[in-house]
Amino acid sequence: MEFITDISRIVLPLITVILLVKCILALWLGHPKEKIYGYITDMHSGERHPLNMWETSIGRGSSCDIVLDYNSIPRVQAVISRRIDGWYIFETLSKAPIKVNGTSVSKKQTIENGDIITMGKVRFRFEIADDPVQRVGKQKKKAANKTAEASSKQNRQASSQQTAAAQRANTQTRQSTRTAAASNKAGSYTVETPRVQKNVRRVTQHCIVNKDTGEIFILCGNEVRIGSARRSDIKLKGQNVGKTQAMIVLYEDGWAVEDAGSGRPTLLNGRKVTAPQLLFDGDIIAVGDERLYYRVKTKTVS
Amino acid sequence: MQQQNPRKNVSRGDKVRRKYKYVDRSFILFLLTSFQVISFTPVIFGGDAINYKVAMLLLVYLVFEWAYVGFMRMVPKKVNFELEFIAFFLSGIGLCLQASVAPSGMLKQLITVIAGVLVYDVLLWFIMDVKRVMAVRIPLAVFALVFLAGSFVYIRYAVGAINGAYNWLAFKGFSIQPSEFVKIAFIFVGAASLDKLLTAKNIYMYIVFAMGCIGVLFLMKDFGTALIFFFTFIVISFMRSGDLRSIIFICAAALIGAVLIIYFRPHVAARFAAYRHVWEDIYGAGYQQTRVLIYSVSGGLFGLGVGNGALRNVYASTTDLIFGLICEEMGIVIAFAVVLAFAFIAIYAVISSKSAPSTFYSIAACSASAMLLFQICLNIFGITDLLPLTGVTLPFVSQGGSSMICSWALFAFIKSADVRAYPKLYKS
Amino acid sequence: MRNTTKRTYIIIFLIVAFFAGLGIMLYSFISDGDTWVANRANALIYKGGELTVAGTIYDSDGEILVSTEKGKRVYNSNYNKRLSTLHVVGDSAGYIATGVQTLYRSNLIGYNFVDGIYGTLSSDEGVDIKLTIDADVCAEAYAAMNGNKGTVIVYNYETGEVVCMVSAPTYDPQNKPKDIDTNTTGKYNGIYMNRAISGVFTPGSTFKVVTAICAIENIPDLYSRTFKCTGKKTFGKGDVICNGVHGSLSFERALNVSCNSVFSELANEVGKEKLTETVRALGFGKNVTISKAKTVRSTFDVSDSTKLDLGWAGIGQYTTLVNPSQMLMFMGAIANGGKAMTPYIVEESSEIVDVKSKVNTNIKLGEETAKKIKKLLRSNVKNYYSDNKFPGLEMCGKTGSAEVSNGKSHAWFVGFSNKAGFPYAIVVCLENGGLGYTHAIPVANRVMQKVLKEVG
Repeated sequence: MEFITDISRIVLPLITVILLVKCILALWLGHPKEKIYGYITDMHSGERHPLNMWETSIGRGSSCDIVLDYNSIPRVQAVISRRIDGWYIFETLSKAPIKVNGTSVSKKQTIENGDIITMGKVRFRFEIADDPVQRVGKQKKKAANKTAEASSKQNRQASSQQTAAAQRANTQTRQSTRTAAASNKAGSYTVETPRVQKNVRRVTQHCIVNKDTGEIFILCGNEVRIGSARRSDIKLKGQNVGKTQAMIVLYEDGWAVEDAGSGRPTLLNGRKVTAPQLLFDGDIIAVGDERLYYRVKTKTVS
Repeated sequence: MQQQNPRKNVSRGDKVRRKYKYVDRSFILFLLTSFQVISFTPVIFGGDAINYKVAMLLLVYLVFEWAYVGFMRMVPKKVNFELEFIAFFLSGIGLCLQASVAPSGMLKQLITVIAGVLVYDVLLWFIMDVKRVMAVRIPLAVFALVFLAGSFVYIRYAVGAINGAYNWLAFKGFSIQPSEFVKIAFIFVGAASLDKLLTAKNIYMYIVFAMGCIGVLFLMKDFGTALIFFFTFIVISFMRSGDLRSIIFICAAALIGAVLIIYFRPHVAARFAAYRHVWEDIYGAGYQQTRVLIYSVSGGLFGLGVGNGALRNVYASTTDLIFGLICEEMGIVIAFAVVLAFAFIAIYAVISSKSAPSTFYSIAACSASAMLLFQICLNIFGITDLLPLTGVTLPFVSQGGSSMICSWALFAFIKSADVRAYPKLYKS
Repeated sequence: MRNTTKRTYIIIFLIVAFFAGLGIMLYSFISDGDTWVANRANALIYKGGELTVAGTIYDSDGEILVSTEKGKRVYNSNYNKRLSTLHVVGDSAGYIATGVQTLYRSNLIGYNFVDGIYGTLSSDEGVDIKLTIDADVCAEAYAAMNGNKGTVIVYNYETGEVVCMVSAPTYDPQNKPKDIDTNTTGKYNGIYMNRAISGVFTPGSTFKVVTAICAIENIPDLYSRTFKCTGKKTFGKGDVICNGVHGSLSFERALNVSCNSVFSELANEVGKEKLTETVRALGFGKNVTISKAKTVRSTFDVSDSTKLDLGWAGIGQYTTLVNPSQMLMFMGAIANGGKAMTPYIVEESSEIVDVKSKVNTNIKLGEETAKKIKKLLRSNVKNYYSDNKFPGLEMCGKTGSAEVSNGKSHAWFVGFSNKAGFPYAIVVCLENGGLGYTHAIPVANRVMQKVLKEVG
C-alpha cells in the first residue's frame, strides 16, 4: 500500500495539472473568431454598421452598440437580436416608432435579409452576412469538374456559362435563401422596393471559378484570401502559389483584387497587380499556375 | 508590406483558436480514469478485505463518464467537454474521499452526481432558446420565493433546527437544502436578454425578489448562503444596470443592517467570536479551523495518501472541511488546483460572455461563476480562519446532493455563454 | 450588449481578491506550518498527548538521550542521566516549555513544507538532533547538587557550546510520578521549569562584580584608595551589615573578602544612574535566546531607592533578581575579553540551521575593564578561596550567599577557568543551599573537574 501512496503522490498532482491546464486553455483560447453576422446600412449616408454580436442595441446614446447620430433617433431606439429561429427587432423603453418595410413594429418583429428598417427619419437596410466563402460540396465539385473538362476546348465565355449554371443549380438546391453581400455598383445603393411577394427576389452573385478544377466560390463578406495556406478562403494546390498571395476585397465600387505581398506576382488579365484593381465580369486572375475567372450573375430566386 | 502585419497577427490567432478549439477527449478521459483508479486504489484495497462495493460504484462512475461523453458526441454531436471534464474531476475527488471516510454514503453521492449531470444537460437544452427562458422567468421567481418561504415555515414548525439553522428539509431517508435549488432560480430570474434589459423601467421587481430570498435565508439562520445570495445579487444588478452608485448604496445599507443586527442580537456576533482567535480555544470554538490548519500542512505539497490522514475523524470533514482533507491526503498542489480551477472558470466566463448569444447568457455565466467562486472563498478562507466560519460547502467536492446538483446547474449557466456549447446554433 | 459585457470587470475584482486570499493562505502555510504541525492537537504525531514519532536526540558524545521505539519515546537507560538532562531535552508531552523536544519538535518530527510529515510517518522516524551537552557531566552535576534545588550551567565561553545545564528539582521522564500534577504538598512546585533559562534569583555577592565594574569605570583613583570597614555601614536611619569587621583594606582585598561596607559605599558614590547604566550595559534586563529558548529578564530597579536601598542593591540584595544564564554570559564576557558568546544547546545540521552561537551584543564590556576585573576574580580564588579548592583549573570567580526571606541563603558561585585550552565558564546556583564559599564552591569544582576529564 505504501508503494501505491508513493506513486500516487507524484502521479495524481501531475494528472491534475495536465488535465486542468489542457481544459482551461481550451476554454480560454478556443473561442471562435468574432464573426460579422449581418449589416445595418444607413441608406442616407451609405455607412455600413456590422452586426458582430448576437444582440445589438441601436440608438443615439453612446452606450449603444451602434451609435446613430441623428436627432430623430432617441438614445436607445431598438435592439436587433439573432435568435435560434431567425432575426428579430425589438422596441425598447423609448417606444420610438420603428417600421419594418413600412409597417410599424409593436414590441417585436422578425426581420429578414434585405428588409428596410425605418428609425426616426432615417431608413436602414438590414442584411444577413454569411461565411466569406461558401464552399461547394464534393459531389458538386466532381460534376463541375466534368463540365469543365468537357468544355475545356470551348471558349471562355461558354465555359463560364456552364460553370455558372452548375453553381446556380447548387445554390438553388442548398441555399435557397442565401444571398451575396452588397450590391456592387458605384456608391449608389439601389433602394429595393418593399417586398410584395415574399418569396421572389432578385439576387446578384459574384463568383470566382477555378478554370482547372471547376470549383466555384461565391464571394461574400468583406475580403477573401487566396493562397496555398490552409486557412485561405480559396485554397489553391497548384505550383508557385504563395501562402496568402492575393486578396479579393469588397470596396464601395465593387469587388477588387489586390496583391497580398507574398512576393509572387499576381496577374489580372496578364498584367501584374500592384494596386487594388476593380474586377469585371470575365476577368482572369492568374495566381501561380492557377487561373481563376471572375463572374457576375443576376437572377431571380423564388 | 504595412498591410501584412495585422493580417499575420490574425492568422496566428486563428492558429491558436484551431489548436485549442477542443481538448483531446479520449486523452482527458484516460487521465480522468487514471486519476480516479489511482486515488480509489487505497480505498478499495486499503482495508482488511477488498471493498467490492466501492469498486463496483467506481466502475459505474467510470463507465458513466465514458458513456456520457460518447453519447453526447454521437447524438447531439457535441465536441466541447472541457467544463464537464473539470466537473467530473472534482466530483471524482469528492467521491473518493467520501468512499474513504464513509463508504456507506458513496452510493448516494454517486446518484447525485448522475442526477447533477442530467440537470446540467436539461438546463443547458432549456436555456438554448432565449424566448423560452424569458417566458418562464416570472413564474419561476414566484415559485422559488414561495418554495423557499414554504420550506422555511415547514422546517421551522415541523422539522426543527439542524446545527442551529433551519435550512434542511428532511424527508424519510433523505434531506434536501431548499436554498441550493433557489440558487439556480436566483440566477435564472436575475439574468435577462438585452431587449428585456432595455425595456424594463427599473430593477425593483428583481430587488424585491432578491431581498425576499435573502430575508428568508436570514430567518433560516443560514448566513453563509444569505451572504452568497447577497453577493450574487450585487453582481447581477451591476451587470444589469451598470449603476455603481446604487450598488455602493445597497452595500452601505447592508453594512448598517449587519451592524444593527450585531448590536441588537449579540448572539449572532457570538457565532463569529472565534474569528482570528482560533488558537486560543483549540478544543472549543476554534476546533475545526485549527484542525484544518494543522492537518493541511501535515500533508505537505503531495499529501499523505488517501486514508492516511487524521482530519477525517473531525466532524464535517467531508462537507465543510473537505478542502483541509484534500490538502492533507492529496496534498496542497491538488487542493489549490481544485480551487484555482474555479477562478480560471470565472475568467473563462468573462471571456466567453463577450461573444455570448445573449446578455442573458453573459449575465448568467458571470453571476454563476461569481457565485461559485464567492462560495469557495467563504468555504476555504472560513475554515482556514482568514474569514469568519460560515459553514458553506465546496462545490462538487463536498458531500451533499443539493449542493452537487446546484453546482452542475450553475456550470450549465457558465457553459451557455460559450457559443461552442450549442454546435448546431453556432454553425447555422 | 457590449455595454453589459464590459461590466464583467466586477468579476475581476472577485478573482483578484480570491488570488490575494489564496496567496495569504499559502504564505501562512509556509511561515506558520511548522508551529501548526507541532501542535499537541495533531493526532498524527501525538497519541494521548505524547509524541509518538520524532527523531533521536543525542548528547555531544553520541549517547542517545531520547529516541522513538515502537511509537513510544524512550529515554536514556541511566537514571541519573535521565533526571539531569530532563530540562534540556524536555518531556514527551511538552510540559517543559524550554525543552528541545518542545521547541524543536517541528524539526524532530521531520516537518518541511514540501513533504509535510510524510517522510516521518512512512518511516516512523523523524529528524535527529545532536546536543552540545554531555550527559556524564550533567549526571555528575546533578549528583554534586546533592538534592538541592537550583541549577548548574557550564559553557565554552569561546564558542558558546553549553556542556552542562542541569535544573533541579527534576523527575524521571520514563516513569513520570503519578501524582506530579495532583500533589499539593509543593514537592513538585516548579518542576517543569528549567531554572537555568526561566529562573531568576537574588544574586547576592556575585553582583559585587557588577558594582566593581561600575566603580572601575567611574572612579579614577579606585585602586589607590584605602577603605575602612567597621562591620557595618550606616546610611540615614539604617545600616548595611557586613559579614565581618575588615578594618582598612584596598579595593582588591574588599572584593576578595566580599566586604559589604565597601561595595554599598561604592554603589552610593557612583550613584543610581551610573550603576543602572552599567547594569544595562552588561545586558541585565534584556532576554536572549538560547537555542530557541528565550531566557527570563533579570530585574534591577533602583529608581525609587533610598541611599540604604542603593547600598543593598550594590551588594546584590534589594529587589535585584538575575537569571543564571545571564550571569553565565556575563562571566563569559569577562573571560573572553569583553566579548560574550550566546550559549547554545543544539548543534547545527542540515535540517537545523542558524543556531550557531552569535556574539551577544547586549553585553557591552570594554576590553580593558574586562582585563582588570578578570585579574580581580583571579585574585579572589588565588588569595582568598585558595587554588586548592580548584586543583589544576586556574579558576577565577566570585561566590555569593544571597539572603532571601524564606530559609537559608542561595549559594552562588560564578566563575571561569583561565587555564589555557580550557575556556569554560560556570554558574552554580543552589536555592537555599547555604553559603557560597562552603556549598557552591565544592559543587563548582566537582563539575569543572568532570568537564576537564570529559572535554578538556
